[in-house]
Amino acid sequence: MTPLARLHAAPFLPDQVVAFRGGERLTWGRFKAEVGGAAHELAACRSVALACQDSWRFAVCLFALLSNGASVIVAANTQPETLAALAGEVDRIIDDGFVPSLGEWGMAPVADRMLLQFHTSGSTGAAKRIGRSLAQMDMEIAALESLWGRQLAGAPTLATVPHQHVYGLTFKLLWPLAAGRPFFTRQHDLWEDVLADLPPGAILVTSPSHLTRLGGLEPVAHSPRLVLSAGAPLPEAAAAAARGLLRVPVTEIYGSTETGAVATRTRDGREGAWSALPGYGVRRDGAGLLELDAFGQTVTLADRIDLEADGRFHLRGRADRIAKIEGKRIDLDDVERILGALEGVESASVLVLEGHQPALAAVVVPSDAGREHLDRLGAFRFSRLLRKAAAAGLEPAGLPRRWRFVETMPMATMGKRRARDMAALFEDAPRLPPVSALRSTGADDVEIDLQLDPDLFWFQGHFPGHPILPGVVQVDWALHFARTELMLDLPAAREFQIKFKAVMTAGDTPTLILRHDRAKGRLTFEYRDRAIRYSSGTVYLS
Amino acid sequence: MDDLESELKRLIVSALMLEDLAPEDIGSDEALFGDAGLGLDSIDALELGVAIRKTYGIKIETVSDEVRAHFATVRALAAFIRSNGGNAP
Repeated sequence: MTPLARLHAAPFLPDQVVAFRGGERLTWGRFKAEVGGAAHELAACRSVALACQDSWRFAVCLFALLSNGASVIVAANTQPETLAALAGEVDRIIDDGFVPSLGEWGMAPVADRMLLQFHTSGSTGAAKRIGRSLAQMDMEIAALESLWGRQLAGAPTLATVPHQHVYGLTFKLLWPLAAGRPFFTRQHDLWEDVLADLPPGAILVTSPSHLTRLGGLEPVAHSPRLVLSAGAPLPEAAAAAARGLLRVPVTEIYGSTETGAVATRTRDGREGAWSALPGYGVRRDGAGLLELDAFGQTVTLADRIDLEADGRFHLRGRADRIAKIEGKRIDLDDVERILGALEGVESASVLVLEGHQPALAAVVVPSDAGREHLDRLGAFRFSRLLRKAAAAGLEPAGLPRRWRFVETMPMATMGKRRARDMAALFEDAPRLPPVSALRSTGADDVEIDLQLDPDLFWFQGHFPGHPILPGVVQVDWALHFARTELMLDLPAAREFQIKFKAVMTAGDTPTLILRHDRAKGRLTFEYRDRAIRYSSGTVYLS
Repeated sequence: MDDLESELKRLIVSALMLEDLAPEDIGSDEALFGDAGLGLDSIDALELGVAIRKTYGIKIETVSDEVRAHFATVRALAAFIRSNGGNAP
């Protein structure tokens, strides 16, 4: 196994296959030549955000930049909002449009203290930046290799998860690269797509998003050697379905952006405890939290655990899921479990709204029966009904004060709930922009010129230094002006679609064009400024 | 219009619970995914995959390369299902 810092000296033959791109086989010789070319071309960049979606291109640029000593931020995705937020901090954003020339300059070593910086949404919803050194990632990869290297020799890797996050980057890209195993350069999103490309004996890097959507698939002819899942706990039903179809138990990975992979367990149908990676030490600290010894340092994670006598452990929920409400310690996971079991509730998620007083809030997806109650009683009375039912199992401080009913739970990739989107559902007093002109273009149409002053509430805090108007607010403003200008008697929006063309930032002067289509029962809106179309969307009024 | 295409549009609306979108509002050649067309996302794609497999019984062994292109539009999906011997329900 070659450490990443010394990848330039890896003992691979020049024609060894590093990656598959469509029908093309990309070799080690080509990799070194592209890294050399890219390093030469990017020599002037001191800080770069990497937004390549092609995993090969990403790896080439990553090693070129690290060997140049440049600072690298891994863009979490390629959404315009994300890239706009990064644009001010880096010399350059590199995407798939960057094609390095093949250099005669060769590939250079990398200092192993070099950092890769990741963004994570964080459980509080505020974006956090986390740096991991190449040395740390090398230790993680060495641990993975000692656990599985022998059985995986030569196996190709295919992923349904992006390489922009720590899990995908390690398992789909860096570990295969260091171990000399080929990977597919693109992300496979559809199961049909995965199974069409999946070679016999492959490594499949996936997540609960995919493994919970296996319906209608036939068992595979050649089972993969290893199926990995991370990002969120895999429900037992999905683990069993995956075992049947892929003919191999799913191996779950537990970890965090800060630490990378920490522990693993095999979902073979028995109640499985987690085993730490070889060489990693796991303890339970005084507060019940997981204390990890790895990379020559001790890190406390935000998950509570119970240890078995043999050192394996069980996860018992996140520590930051304990909130102090009305002076009482409330376990949000408990509240979620109790709400989720109520009649009329399909699923529930609980969060704490920080105001002058922290308040417990619930986002609920009603069941079919619950939906009937909701339609008949209205949101407030239905929420009181649920509160009453939940009071049997919860102390008063644990009963959510505020409720929102939605069709589906806001989820980010890999099945994680998006805390910021959840909290946005409760923003009931958005600050509105000043209106500079208003033109009525018909009984059901209006155009409103807005001024996005920098001191608007929405430009504070989301992305420090890069204020962007969030999508939920754009919908909220459309609803607000539909109420005040089109005299529509609107309930809180339940369903909407919005398409973003460009980001709106402080100082912009968009025109909001609202149109009420009575026949179809929908409100359409568009934010534009002459030739610039920022966004457009539809709110369904049922 | 092609029967299979209309049927697929109804399937898309029901499987993805696009309650307020009428099947006939989906163009046969409209991009299903991405910013330009209907704007479905990757989770929608997975759900649609489940619905199509369950409805038409497509066998995965028969699938050839570039599957994603078959999911681009309703028309492409219909051609894909026909060429794979999918059975109408």
